[in-house]
Amino acid sequence: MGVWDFIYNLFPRLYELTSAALGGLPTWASYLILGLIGIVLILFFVILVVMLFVWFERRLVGRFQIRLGPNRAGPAGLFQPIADVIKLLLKESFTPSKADRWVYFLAPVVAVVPAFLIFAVVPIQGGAGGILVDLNIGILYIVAISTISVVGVFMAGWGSSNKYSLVGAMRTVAQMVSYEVPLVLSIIGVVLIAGSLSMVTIVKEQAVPFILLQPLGFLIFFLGSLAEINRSPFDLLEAESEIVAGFHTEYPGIWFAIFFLAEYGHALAVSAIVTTLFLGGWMGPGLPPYLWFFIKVLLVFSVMLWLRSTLPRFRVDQLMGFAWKYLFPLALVNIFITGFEAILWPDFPWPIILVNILVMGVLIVLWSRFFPLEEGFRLERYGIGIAKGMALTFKHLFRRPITVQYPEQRLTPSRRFRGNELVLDLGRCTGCGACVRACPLNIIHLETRRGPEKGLIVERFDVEAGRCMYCGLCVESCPVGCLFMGRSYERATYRLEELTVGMDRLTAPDRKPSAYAHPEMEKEMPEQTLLAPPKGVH
Amino acid sequence: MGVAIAFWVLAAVSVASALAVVITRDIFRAALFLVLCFLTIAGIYITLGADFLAAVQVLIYIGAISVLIIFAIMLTREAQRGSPSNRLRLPALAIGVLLLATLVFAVLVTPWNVVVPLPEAEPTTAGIAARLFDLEGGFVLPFEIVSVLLLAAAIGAIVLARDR
Repeated sequence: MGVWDFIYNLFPRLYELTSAALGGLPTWASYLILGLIGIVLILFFVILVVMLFVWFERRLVGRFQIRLGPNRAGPAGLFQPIADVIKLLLKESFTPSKADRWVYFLAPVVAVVPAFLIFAVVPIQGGAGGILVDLNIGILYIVAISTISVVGVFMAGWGSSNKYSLVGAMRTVAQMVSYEVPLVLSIIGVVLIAGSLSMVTIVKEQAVPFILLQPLGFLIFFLGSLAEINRSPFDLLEAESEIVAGFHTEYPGIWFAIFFLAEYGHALAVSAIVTTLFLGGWMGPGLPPYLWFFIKVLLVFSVMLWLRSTLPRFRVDQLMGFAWKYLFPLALVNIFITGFEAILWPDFPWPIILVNILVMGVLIVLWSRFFPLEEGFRLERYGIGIAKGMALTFKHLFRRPITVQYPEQRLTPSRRFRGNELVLDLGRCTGCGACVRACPLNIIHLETRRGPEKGLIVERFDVEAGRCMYCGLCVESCPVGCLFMGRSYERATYRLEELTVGMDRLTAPDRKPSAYAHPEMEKEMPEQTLLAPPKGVH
Repeated sequence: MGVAIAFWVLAAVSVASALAVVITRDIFRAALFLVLCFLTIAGIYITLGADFLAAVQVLIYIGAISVLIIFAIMLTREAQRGSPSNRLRLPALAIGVLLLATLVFAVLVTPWNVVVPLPEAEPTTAGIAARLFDLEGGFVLPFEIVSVLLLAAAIGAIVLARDR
């Protein structure tokens, strides 16, 4: 009963402490209070993790696209979701004048509540306290509850009385209803092996994670859930180029935020369910169980983001064809095979793993051969194409981002960069005025007077930098080489007159010259930052 | 006690929403009330300890049937102008009352085998599974055949729906 034990079994220990503290109360009161605590914990958990997920998604997708992603608000941009929520809260709230108000305002609520309800049966850790309630219909409860959010989408699409909303809702619902069939059928394989619908028992039965015993089931379930939660490449409902934002087009500010919460809550739920059903839930060596759970959830979510940043959107007919021609029959075949295996080899010996993976490969190849999604569809071409794309986005993770943390971090421009205005070396200038004559815009103004000895003294050397077009003719025409292009590139000023650059600023020591038209200077210059990857990496 | 309160609340809501389905003029709202009605009936199943039935009720009646109804409404042109009226109001009322009377009569007349005291309500899932998938006297073979049958139907549908 040391500190490690407490950390390792955090949730059961907390549960024991709470129930001990409530020991004096009658049973129903302690039951009620424990339940309320659990509900509040789940609410906070979901909202916090959703905010984390929003940040994580934007950062990781940024890396997949060789960008940095949002990193300004708070450490590493962690407060970005908070800033987003505040922005949404402060937005003007309006209702479309023709909206069916009751339906319109109830829709986000109906959409978001199932996302929370699902977490009642998701086990974070074994033992009491690791799960709110271990229903013996666990996975069926999840399937049933998540269908309710369809109604919310419908209500939003109808209540807004906007054609884009309606089309978006129709698309969403057609998609959700179609993909629900293979989704539920693929769960049956898991249930057959585990011999239970309870989420806790399913995890406990996974001495070998079910992803190995049920590779085909996993694939169908994962793709089906992606479609259920409308994530890319199944995100037809928010195909911006076609139907604005789909069913939530007409929702402003906070109402939109609720839909957003529902979407990410469902993404979190799906990650948690995949973890529980196929990846062995909280089980893993060394680390505390709940940490294993979160690591696996994050892993599943990362795979979703990986798919999102690689694959383009489906077309509507392809979407339906994929559900009904591929996932649905394959899910049925999966049930058939799993049922046989469950009867013949009830304890699932390890060669079954290899057999199942082989069967999956053969089935996928055969099915794509017999039922091409459209004319000319070839698994050899498209499958390899998808694999290549996935490999490419994965490689991007290890590349240097194209964007930099400006202004803390700056890129070194080319050595012959024609940067801001001019740099003047007054000691060498003879006041010959060649630059003035060379300037096609007449923006260099030179005033000289006779010196005490031979030659001229420069009194005024102004450049109207606001009009400069960086042609560099002045630099090229200078016979003594006292004029250079600058290396800086920030042009903004607060006042108009600052755009006329005088002699004192042209000669200031912090103005760095570039090697434009001065090739002899190139050797001392720092090398240009190259964002292109080294050879061999595309 | 708690179960009794839950039952009465659910019963009241389900009857009210069922009435609303019939009375509401806006057909889309009527469909939504139907969803609420199905949901409360699932709740009543839970108070009776029939958890499997409750989940299936939500899954099928809300997830499939209501969605189908709403889908049909969305595809209907005239739905925006309220419920399409017709002359079947009185016959429908008569048939409804007749059906209700039959049901009430049947419930009252049937000699129910009432067990006192009530046995503890137990989760039904394990029992259903044991009955269905018991290797002796279960329905394992029909279950397998069903999956083959559905597969055949699906492939048939795909072949029929192909362009060529």
